[in-house]
Formats: sequence, C-alpha cells, structure tokens
Amino acid sequence: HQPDRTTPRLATAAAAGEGSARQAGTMRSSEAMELLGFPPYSRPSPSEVKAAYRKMVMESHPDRFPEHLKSQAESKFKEVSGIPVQVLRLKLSSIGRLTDQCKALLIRDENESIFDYLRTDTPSNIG
Amino acid sequence: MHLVTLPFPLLLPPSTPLSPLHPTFYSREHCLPKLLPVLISTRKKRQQQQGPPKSHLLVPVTPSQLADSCWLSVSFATFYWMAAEPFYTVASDSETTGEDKSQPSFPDVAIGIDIGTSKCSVAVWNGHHVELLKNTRNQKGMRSYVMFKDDTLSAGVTGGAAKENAHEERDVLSGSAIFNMKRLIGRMDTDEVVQASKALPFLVQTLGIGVRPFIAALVNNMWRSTTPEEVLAIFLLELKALAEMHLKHPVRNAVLTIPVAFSRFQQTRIERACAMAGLHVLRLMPEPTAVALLYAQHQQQLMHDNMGSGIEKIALIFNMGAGYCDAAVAATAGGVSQIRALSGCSVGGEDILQNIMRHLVPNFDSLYAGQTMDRIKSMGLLRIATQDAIHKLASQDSVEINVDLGDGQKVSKVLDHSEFEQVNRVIFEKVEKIINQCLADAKLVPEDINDVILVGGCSRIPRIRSLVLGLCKTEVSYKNIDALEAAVSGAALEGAIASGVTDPEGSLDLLTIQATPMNLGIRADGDNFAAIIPRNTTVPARREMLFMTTHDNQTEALISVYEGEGERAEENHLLGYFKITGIPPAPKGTVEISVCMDIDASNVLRVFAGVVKPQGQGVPPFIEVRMPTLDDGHGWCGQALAKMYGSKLDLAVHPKKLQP
Repeated sequence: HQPDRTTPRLATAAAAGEGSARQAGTMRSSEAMELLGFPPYSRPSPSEVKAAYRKMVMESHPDRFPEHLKSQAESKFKEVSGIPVQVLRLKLSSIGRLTDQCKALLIRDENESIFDYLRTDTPSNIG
Repeated sequence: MHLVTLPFPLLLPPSTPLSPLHPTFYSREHCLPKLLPVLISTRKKRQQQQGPPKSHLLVPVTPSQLADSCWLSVSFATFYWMAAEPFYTVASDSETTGEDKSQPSFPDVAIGIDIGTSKCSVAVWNGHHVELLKNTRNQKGMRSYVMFKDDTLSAGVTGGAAKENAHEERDVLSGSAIFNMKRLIGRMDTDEVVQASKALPFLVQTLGIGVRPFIAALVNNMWRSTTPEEVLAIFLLELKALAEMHLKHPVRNAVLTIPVAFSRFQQTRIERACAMAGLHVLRLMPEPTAVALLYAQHQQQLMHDNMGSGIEKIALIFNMGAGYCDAAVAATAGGVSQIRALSGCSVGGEDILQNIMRHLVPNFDSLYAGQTMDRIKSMGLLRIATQDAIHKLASQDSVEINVDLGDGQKVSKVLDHSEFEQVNRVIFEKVEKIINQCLADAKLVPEDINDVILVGGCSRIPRIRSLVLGLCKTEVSYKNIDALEAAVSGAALEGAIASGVTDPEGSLDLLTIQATPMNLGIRADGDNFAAIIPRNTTVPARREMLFMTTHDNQTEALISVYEGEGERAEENHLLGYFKITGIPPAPKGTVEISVCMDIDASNVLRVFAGVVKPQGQGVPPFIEVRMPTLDDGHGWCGQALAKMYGSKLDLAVHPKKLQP
C-alpha cells in the first residue's frame, strides 16, 4: 500500500468528488499550525516557528526512518517544508524585529515556503 | 543457477550503446549476438575451472578478468532489456553455495564514491569512522582514466597504464586512454565543454547538431569507439572490485558525488554507468553537500567535547576540481546540516590548463588541429609541462617552463602569478559569480558566514583561495578538512546513514537536508518558463501550480518539463513532455489545470497533471510521469514540438497564482 506519495493532494480531492478541491498553494492557517505542532489558533513568534520547524524536520525527514516508514515520513516532510509563510500569522511584535529585506520577503509571495522564510532568520537580521 | 532480483530497474531505451540496435554495440567481440548463450557458457567455463561456483566479484582481479566481467554485466543488461520483463531478474550462481549461506550476513552499507574529472576515490564506513581505500599502489586518489589496449581494458584504479607512477601520465596522454569522462557524460556535441574537450589526446568528434559526441581511443593505430558511460562503467567496476577486496563481501549500493551543475539528464547517465557496473545508486550528492555533512559531524564532535556551543553555524563550502566548480551555503546545528543555497558551473582546472597551454603555444589550435601520432605525443608533453608548472605556481612566485614539442617547436618561458591570473581572468570572474549568487540565494551577507571551507584540487591555487576568502570577508579557511578527501568522506557518511547504520557513540546521528540546485518547471505563457519547484527548495518537496487553457474549446494541452535558470523555456534543459487530452470544451481561460511536481527522498522527479476545473465524471484522470523521459537530442525535441504544434497546445499561468 502506497500512501498519498504517488497521488497529489489535489488529485485525491478531485477523485473523491469533494465539493471544493483545494487550490494549489492554499493552506489554512490552522492546518499549518497543527502541522508544526502548535494549537490551531496560536500566534507563535518567528523563533518559536523556527524551533518547531527544526523539530518537525528532524521528526519527519525520510532519512531518519526505516524503509517501511519512509514514504509516510516523506509526505509529512513535504507538507511541513511547503507551508506558505503567509499563513503562519506570526506575532507582529516579533516581525518588527526583522530587517526590511526580510519584511519585504514576507509580503513578496504568498507561496514563499516556511523554509525560504527561515533561512533569512540569521544573526544579522534577527536581534 | 538461482534467481535474484536486481535492486534497480534497468531502464535502457533503444538508443543506448547497450542496445543491440546501436551500431557501437557490435563493435565488441564479446557482445556479438546470441547474448544468453555467451553468458551461460562463460559461467560454465568458470565453474569447471574453479570447482564450486563463487561470486565472480570475489575472484582475484586481473585487468583482463575485469574487462571480461564488465562485458558480462553489459550482456546481462542487454538481455533483460530485450526480454522486457516486468520483473527484472538476473541469473546468478553466487547465492547457491552452502559456503556463502554459512557466512554471517554482511551489513549492506553503501560505499561512497567520488568520481572526479581528474581523480577518483572510494571510502567506506568501517564501523567506527570513514576509511578511504587505497589501491595496490597505495594511492587514495586514483587517476580517472580507462586504458584501451588490444583486448584488455584497465582503469586508473589498478594503474593499468604503467607500473610506475612517473610513466602513468605519459601513457594516459598517449591517445589510448579516455579520461575527463565527467566532462563529457550526458553532453551534446553543441556544448562548449565538449568543444573544449577536442583539445584532449583521444578522439572527440562533433557534428554540432545537438547529438552525443563520438569518442574513441587509439588502439593499435586505430580509433576504437566508446561512450563516456561505458568508460565510466569500466572505471566504476574497478572501484567496486577494490572496495570488495577490502570489505571481503560484495558491494551493491553506492553514494556518488556529482557536481551541482549536473542536469537531471546527466544524472541519469551516471546512474546508467553505475547500473552497467552492477552498482545501485542510493544517492547522488552534490559535492559541496557531502562536505557539509562532514562538517556537521565535526561540529557535533566539538559539541560533545564541550568545545562548541551548539549554536547554528553557517558554512560556505567552495569546491573546485578539474572539471567543475560549486559552492554551497549550509546551516549546521546539532548534527543537522541544512543546505540553504547551491550554485555551480562547469569551470575547472582543465580550463585553467587549456588557457595556459594556449598562452604558451599561441598557434595551439592550428598546431593540434589534426590528431596524428606525433601531434598527440607533442600535446602530451605540453600538457605535462603545463600541469607541472601550475602545480609549482601554488608554492612558488614564478616557474620556468622548458619543453621541446618536436618538429622544431620549443617552449621556453617564465610564468609568474600576475601573468597566470591575467590568462585565467575569465575563470576567476566565473568563480566570483558562483560565490556571489550562492550568498544572494541564501539571503546572507559575508559577515554571516562562520566558516569558509575550501575543497578540491583547484582550491590550492593561491588566487582562488584569496578570491573566495576575500568575497567572504575572512582571512582564513576552515582547517580540519582535507581538500581532496572531504567529498568522498561525506559520501561514505551519507552511505552509512542512508543504509540505516547507527553508531553507539552517536557519530552517525547526522542529517543533511538537501536542496534542489536548479529551477524545475514547465513552458507556459508562450515560451516562458514557469518554475514550479524553484531552485534551493528543500527536498523531498512537492509543489503545485495552476494553469489555464489559452484557446477556446482547447481539448489538449502539452506539458513540457524543463530544468534550468533561464527565463525562457528554450534556454533550459528539456527533461520531457506529455499531453493532457480529453479536456472538456470550454471558453479559453476557464479550464484550470494543475501541475504538481514531486521530488522524493531518492531525488526522483515525478510530474502529476490534470484538469481540476471543471470537475466531475467527464474529466480525464490525472497523469503521472517520471522524469526525465527524454534520452538524446533534447534540443531537437523542443524545436520539433514548436514546429508541429505552434501555440495550439499552450497553457498560461493562472492569474490566481499571481494575485492573491
């Protein structure tokens, strides 16, 4: 049995005849929060998101799993690393500490993944 | 006889040299038709000679046997391609003997292989640490070449060319050896790297029409044709035999390092060469990311010894060998190394060497236009003298070059650093571009970098060192990494980790999170390139994008998948194409088509596409295509598709994607 590794999320939704197939790139904020292990309506700070992301990556990277669990882990990894940063609803006070370049990045593209965002989170742009 | 399942599918399209339809196939006496009888009779013969059957992998190795076993593997592959069976099985006598079964089962740990343009090395995880294997001549870094002689083939692993190291280089340059295969593999004859390879002593013939180049080695005053894949396979087979000799058990899996600049098409060529050599590719790792893994291990070790702080460290890894140059930015914390950006290009020591040769002999191209015996010999002398001078310049202020090229042509010159730098200015500019792009992609400034790691043979060139360190605004490079052994050591570490080996001391509690080196996307909005998985995305990854039809009642759409950095589709590598058919007739722009790209943990790219609006029973099912589907002549296919269909089957990026 192959989990949804070979069937994209969209295709499964369409095949199952769900009323509204999820559009590419849309993910609800609560879903993203749950994926990262936060309560659905929390507003974490960037450093909390970063720590959660690190933890999830370690817990879902396929290299860390035996053969029979790899594909399941892989799907989760893809979901986590593909979270669009826009849906995270980060604490505004924390965003205030980011550099202008980083803020520009946050509003640049709704499909910016969490990974793209986190790689800007370095000593030089977060105090 | 016993049936074992091969760990990899042998996907061999008809145009490969393995195929009986390919002209080069019949040029080998070993591979005349009636393949299976050849196979069985060889095996029978060996059984009679040696009593109880053993795995041919463990038989003491001589060059001729190696050549023999190589062609055996080739004939296996051909047979199973011909049979086209759904399950790939190979007859093997190795598993049937009681002797084998009574032995404790060996841990199937993948070996690490670094196939360099100039030198190769192989390393294994020995249970405690990574060990680089030495050949019979006590070398860890073995010259990458395959020597063609009458009926024997021998690679640089066993030192087939000469018994003494001093004579090796001269023999390698005699025209009878093929080397630099990493620069030739998977390239078309219009490629500038292939064009530059025409200044090598063996035959590289091009037609300039976008097909694979013809390469040949000099055997008994005749050019004998071969292919880069075949040459690499022979070389890998010797490396595999070397590893098996050390480990005393068969080796199946390998992690290979590849340049960042390698396209997916080139990667399939490497995989094919491995399959010919009986190796299953567990991972293809970009070279700097292998070094990043080794760095992560060092950092973790430091933390255990209470010398490090455990805080995230940013490393810039710069690797420049004979054929390629790459850079990576990796963030490392707690044994996890995350690749933030990758960049690379096909510039290396070979280009520096050719620049200097052309500088020393201004009429180089006209002088060496025809490959006669004395011209090959003369070019060999020039190459050795130039190589020697470049090596000396790493530690001297200037070097004197005196070489008699024959025919009254003599070179006598003193070369100093400023002249060397002037001649190679373009190369240094490219290096600068690579580093700057990598920093920009990682969204970092030089001050963010904690360590600069310089690896590869060319990192010994003073100008390269000062250039990279200058760009990173630092004085010193990271010291605890051996420039020539880092990549292969990282590959062996990854091999152990990916094989599921754990170390009680925790030195394998590591992870590299890889990133894609190039944009992956499809042709849309005319001839534009819509990147679905942008470069430097963490893998495994899955990304989707919405497209719409461009004509009223359009029932078919063509999905052309490209990889590369160009804004226009045609500037990139075409990986493959397929059609979505049976689209319900509707006004243009109303049908929504989703294209999803998926890269799994083994770096396999799959493309899923289908209609998502309208929905219902009248909509065709999604289509899944594993890429690349193309074999040769990818430049041609794009042009042929454009000629045949124009814009009839075009798609446009859905505006929903652009305006949230």
